[in-house]
Amino acid sequence: MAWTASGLYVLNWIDLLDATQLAINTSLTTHKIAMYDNVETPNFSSEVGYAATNEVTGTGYTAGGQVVITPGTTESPAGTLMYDLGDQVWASPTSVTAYGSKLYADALAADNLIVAHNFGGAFTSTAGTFTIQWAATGVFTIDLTP
Amino acid sequence: MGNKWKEKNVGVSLRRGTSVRKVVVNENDGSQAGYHVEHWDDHQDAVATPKTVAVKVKADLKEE
Repeated sequence: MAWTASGLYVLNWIDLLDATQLAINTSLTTHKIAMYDNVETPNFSSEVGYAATNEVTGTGYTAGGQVVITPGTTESPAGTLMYDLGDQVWASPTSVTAYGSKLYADALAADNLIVAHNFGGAFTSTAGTFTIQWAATGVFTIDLTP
Repeated sequence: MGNKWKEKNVGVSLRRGTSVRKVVVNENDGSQAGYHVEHWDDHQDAVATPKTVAVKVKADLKEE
């Protein structure tokens, strides 16, 4: 299994915080989520932008993925930054098999990657809906007060 | 045993209008990774429920 972990993309998070001031605005609804097959091996230390290599293909799925729904960045729980989204749904009829997803800033020229999620196995929709149901605790959190 | 189970279930189809939910187990830690919903008319829905990516600042860094 090529997907072994979920994570944030280190180079982009460095650029977000340093003098580069990479403009990843977590409020944007132009961010996209793309899904990938099991050949994909995310490298959180070297990857920077979205790439179509190993992206899933199939009925109902467009290369590049879909825009996100209702993004929000809040403090939850206390002392922790939480980024959350509405569930991502590819409507029926969608026929794809995916092992993981990547969230990226489509509005930026480099399509900078933000976070990737390992699904933990193969998920296949056959002429049905494909849903990424985010956890109640968010897409990602950063505990700033451990 | 495995073969018998498979043989018994070959060709079993759902009653019209029904569906069955099947859990997908996380290959990394054995937890529930999501589920598939198989429908009587052979279409299938997929619901992945990835875990939150939870990043922690190391507490001992506060002392540096």
